[in-house]
Amino acid sequence: MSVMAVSVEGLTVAYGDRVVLRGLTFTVGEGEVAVVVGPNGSGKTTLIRAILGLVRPVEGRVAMFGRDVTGSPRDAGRFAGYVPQHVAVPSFPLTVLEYVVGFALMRARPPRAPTRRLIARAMEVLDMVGIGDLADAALSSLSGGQLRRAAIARALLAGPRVLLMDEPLANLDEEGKRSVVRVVEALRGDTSIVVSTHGNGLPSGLIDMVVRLGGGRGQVQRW
Amino acid sequence: MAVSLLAGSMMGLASPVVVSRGLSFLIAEMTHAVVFAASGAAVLSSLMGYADLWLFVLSVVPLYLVAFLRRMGVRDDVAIGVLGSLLTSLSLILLYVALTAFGQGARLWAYMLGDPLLTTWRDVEYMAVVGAASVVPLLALFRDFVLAGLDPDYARLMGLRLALYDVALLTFIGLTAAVLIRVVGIFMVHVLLIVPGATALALGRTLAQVPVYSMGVALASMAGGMALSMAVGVAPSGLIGVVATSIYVAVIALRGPGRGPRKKSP
Repeated sequence: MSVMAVSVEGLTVAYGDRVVLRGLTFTVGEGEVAVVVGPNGSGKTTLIRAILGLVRPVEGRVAMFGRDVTGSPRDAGRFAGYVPQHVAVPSFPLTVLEYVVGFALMRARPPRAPTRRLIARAMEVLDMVGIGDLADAALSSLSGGQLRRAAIARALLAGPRVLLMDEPLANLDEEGKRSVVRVVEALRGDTSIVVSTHGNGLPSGLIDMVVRLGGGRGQVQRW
Repeated sequence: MAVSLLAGSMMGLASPVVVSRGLSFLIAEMTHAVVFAASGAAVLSSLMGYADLWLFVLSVVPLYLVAFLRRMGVRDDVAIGVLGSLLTSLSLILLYVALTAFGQGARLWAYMLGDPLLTTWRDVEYMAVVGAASVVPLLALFRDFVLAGLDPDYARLMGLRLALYDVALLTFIGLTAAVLIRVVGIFMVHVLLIVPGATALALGRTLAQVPVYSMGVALASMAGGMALSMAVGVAPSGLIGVVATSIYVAVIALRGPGRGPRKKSP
């Protein structure tokens, strides 16, 4: 039996007395695309954050490629890239290229300047998400859609085996949505992708499974 | 000159991290913390020596306390208000004891006014060690410090131990404050921890430029303030602050109103 890219077993997450996710279990295979759907407040963001270890569950376990990453963003980050729902805009000078490369270099010990190879790779992923021409622009000057694409480029630069995107299509124009779909198309088969959305977004042909959240419970549907 | 270089480098590096990470609220606490540190150091050094060590320890402890209160969920303004009340009360007690029981008037005047021209070679050696131990790591980790403030979740995914970084940053700010008390006096510490960074953030187009500009502004302020001090015969600390603030105002005026951080159109 092949090792699953993401295994969620009996995941229960609560904020104080409020249980957001209760006993959720599902797996995402290597190269598969999973979509997490549900109304506002159903726990989509919480699920994504729990998979990444950013939220510690009350019960249950999350593993990536067989390794337990429950509650450990450091371990999850070795496998996963993350595109948050809200991309923070800096109040200080920061170019798009510095943003993408700077986070990738956080792993470098001792700290070092970016290599030409890393910059070339960063330009590739910026081109892939369609904002290569904005590499030297200030991050604070980007539109919401461009900002989201910069965050996708940041996640892709590390070459993640799992990509988690929280509402990547929200508030995007048609071109922005198409660029996200193109990224999913390009990665599907090689990279496991978990996307949360509260509406239709990705073409059904790209989706391998859907996790429907509501009332703390989850239903998993494969096709 | 050596003292100015060290103090300028430290404040030039600390300042943009403070401003870009939105820690200016913490620096507001420095106003209380440095008075507490100066009065406490005057008393404790009378009993046990090691004035510089006490200055550092008593500068950094209030910062840790504010950070601890924030971690416990206390609002910034409440944490600073409560701690400020305590520190001001303790400072008044310590000042009274330092002046009446230990005759530390001269030391307290020196802490209040500061003066880089009065530092001894022993002070320079001390600051060289402190400066090297703090400036080199902060320069190396500057990018991580700033980006971790922008997106802490992503920094955790990248393996950064944020709590450790926060302690390191607060310790560096405390060290910088302790050195600045000696050089520019307690009244100017919080000003000089904010102004060079704010100027650099207004001037820079890239993150890489920010520490360079900030250190440049800090060093120019130190040099300009001391040159003016010798020309007009006034203690330099106030003039250093005037020069730093003038540079900031000039940069903002040249940039034009309401433009915020410099942007390059897509």
